[in-house]
Amino acid sequence: MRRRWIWAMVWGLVLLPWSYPAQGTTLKPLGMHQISIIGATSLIPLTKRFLPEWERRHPGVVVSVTAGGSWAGILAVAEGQADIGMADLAPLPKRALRLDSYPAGRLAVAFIANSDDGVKNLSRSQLVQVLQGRIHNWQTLGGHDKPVIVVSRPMSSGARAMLDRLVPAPGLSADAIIQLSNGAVLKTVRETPGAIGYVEWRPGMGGVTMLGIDHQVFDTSRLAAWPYYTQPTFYVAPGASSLVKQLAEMLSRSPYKAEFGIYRAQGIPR
Amino acid sequence: MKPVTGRPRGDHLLYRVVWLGALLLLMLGFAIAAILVWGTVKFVIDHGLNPSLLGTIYQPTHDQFGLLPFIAGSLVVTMIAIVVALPLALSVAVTVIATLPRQMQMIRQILSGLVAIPSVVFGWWGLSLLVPSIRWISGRPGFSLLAGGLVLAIMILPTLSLLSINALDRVSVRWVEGSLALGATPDQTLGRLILSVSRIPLLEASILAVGRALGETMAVQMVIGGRVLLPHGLLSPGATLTTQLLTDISLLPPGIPGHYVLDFMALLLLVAMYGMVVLVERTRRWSL
Amino acid sequence: MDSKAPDLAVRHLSVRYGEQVALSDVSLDLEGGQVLALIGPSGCGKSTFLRVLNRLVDRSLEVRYEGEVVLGGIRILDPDTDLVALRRAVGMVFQQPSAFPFSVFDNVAYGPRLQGIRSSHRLRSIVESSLKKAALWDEVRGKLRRPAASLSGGQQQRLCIARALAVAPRVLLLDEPTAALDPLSTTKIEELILSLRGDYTLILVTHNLQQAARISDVTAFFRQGLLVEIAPTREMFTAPKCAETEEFLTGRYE
Repeated sequence: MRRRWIWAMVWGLVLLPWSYPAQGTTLKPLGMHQISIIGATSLIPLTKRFLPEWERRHPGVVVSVTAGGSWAGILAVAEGQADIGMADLAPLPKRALRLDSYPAGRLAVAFIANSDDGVKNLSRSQLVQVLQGRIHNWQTLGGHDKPVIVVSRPMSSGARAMLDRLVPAPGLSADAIIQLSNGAVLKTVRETPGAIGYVEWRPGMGGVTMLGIDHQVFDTSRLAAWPYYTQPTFYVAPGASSLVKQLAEMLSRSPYKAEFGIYRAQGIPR
Repeated sequence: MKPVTGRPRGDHLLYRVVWLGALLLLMLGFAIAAILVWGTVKFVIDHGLNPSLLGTIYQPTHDQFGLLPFIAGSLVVTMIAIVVALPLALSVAVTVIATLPRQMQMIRQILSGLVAIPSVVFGWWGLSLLVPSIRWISGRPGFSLLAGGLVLAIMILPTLSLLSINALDRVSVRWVEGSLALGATPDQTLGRLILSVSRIPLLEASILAVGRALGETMAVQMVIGGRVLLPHGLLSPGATLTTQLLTDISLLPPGIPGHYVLDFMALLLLVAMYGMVVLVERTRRWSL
Repeated sequence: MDSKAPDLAVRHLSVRYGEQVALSDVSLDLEGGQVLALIGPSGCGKSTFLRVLNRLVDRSLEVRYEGEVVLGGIRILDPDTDLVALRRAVGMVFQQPSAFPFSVFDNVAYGPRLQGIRSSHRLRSIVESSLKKAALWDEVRGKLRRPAASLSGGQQQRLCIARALAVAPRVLLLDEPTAALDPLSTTKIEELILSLRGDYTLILVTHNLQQAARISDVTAFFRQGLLVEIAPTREMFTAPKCAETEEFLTGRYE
């Protein structure tokens, strides 16, 4: 008798996760409005920079920010588990098409090489071959006698998604070293002779060779002309409250974008 | 669960609260295991008994789920950790027991403090010191199974040292003096008596340390390189079950096809851990 | 040391643990092959005296000693004394049975193995003869592979004596060997001590005055680190010279 009761509780708990309603699961304490933001790591610094003053202007609203990657951000909003999703994916997953989007601008993806590689410029096809793992030594490209080491981000990253479009099958070298964050890629490339990688550029990045592609130099004063970029965007469900939509819009227009390397795409042909 | 008769009812309150807490923990454990089993079942439903599971090609978005590289990575990294850490921990323990018995309390406190260091700190240490050193010595990238294993070795060293000290400290002074009184040298007493008597607790300690090493994620991820191919040497970058879970959890959130392979990986880890626990129990039984 | 049980000569022995005096200016003589019983209240220094004789006292913190102790030609307190050789010649049995958590056989063979004896034939014969001397053989034959912990307390204490005898000492130090035992086991140990008398010089610390009276040839009474009186046991128990000794023996002490 007693034992059956225990098992009922055990099974109850086991089945709990599936019994959640798919929509609107956020528990709201009385008198408090909660907004949850989740998604791409590249947008978190910007969001966190902006939020404090917005929260000061909206007492009674509590905003939580969670890193989880672009995919998780879009999915969470589509499933109603979060209010605002941050993503820099392209092409967009189907579920994102139904969502309202607030693009923040562009984030340049710079190709960086260790300063000892001895290469400052690559043609686009050379770049692709290097990233595919087909070129094993920098000597082949007129650089120093150093084995090529590709440093990449996991597939959940927006920069990686851009790269996967750039590099045709069989895709990025499976031999690549994977680092979880932008900063880790930069540090690894800076310290590892022979390394090449890509980062979402923001002011202050140094100690590496910024590779020119097809003789187009990566010029931070003319970022708008650089053809490799992601488009960080805030997503909101169409039925979201006006407060949520307002926050998403403010975030996408935040004056701090330049601090994090996000620039406007105005005047540049798509 | 019969209440003891002849006692006031209130007497059982604390007992029941404690019992509920234990039950909650038990249920949580069951729930997690059940979720992972359910995920594994879903994986089989979605992908069949995917033959690629036993292969070496891992492209979860393209129905290729070769887990061998990660299983190999986990095994190798854990092995390095224990092979490096155990002799060091034993040295610490023997030194403390034999030559610094009066400082033992202080050393225990220091070691307990070290146990509390978050694993990212060890990862950071590995990234700034270990990876460049390995790169400098070997001329390879430095991110490697070796680096992962060594970071883990340093990380489990405090725990393993504490457990080893406790194991050796349990050796009765009477036995030690009995051995010395028979004309044993200190070395003989250490080798033939102290280590011999403590071998079961030491084995137990090692198994616990292996469990901790097997489950560690962040510190390893920072130095192992995250390469998804079968590693071809200790200096080769690689990945473990845990680091790949960390890398892919945001690529494959629930609802994305291929997500359930993560449940399968987690279940593998859970089963391995459970195996460790069973092993500890077994060794305890041998020692009785 | 020759094969005869060695004589003991102690001159002006003082032992200090830091500032605390454990023994002060103790002098005594004991003829080889006799049983010396050390009696006195707790903390009087009798255990320290015992531990000086195999230099186990060196393990205590901040210990300092002076004086001279000669055991069958070995100057025990000499800094150059070979402790391994000394401890082989001077066996010790502790208050709590200290059998190692090994099998009965391995317990007794522990000492001989330390000396490098590997031959299983020799080890067997040493183990057997030691167990026989310790009057344990009949109880454990055929059970030599059993863990020592499976023996009773009295059997374990005799196992410890057998273990000490296995390295062929000439002197046996016994630190309250029956304090933790029941009367029947106590009787067996006492009989054993009596049987070893003559071949070994035995020095016994005991709280049990009847035991001292029953089995010792000479009794020494310690109090607060001082040797109050030493005399042949019968004399001491019938006509003690010092008033203090008499008070202690008649229980009007402490």
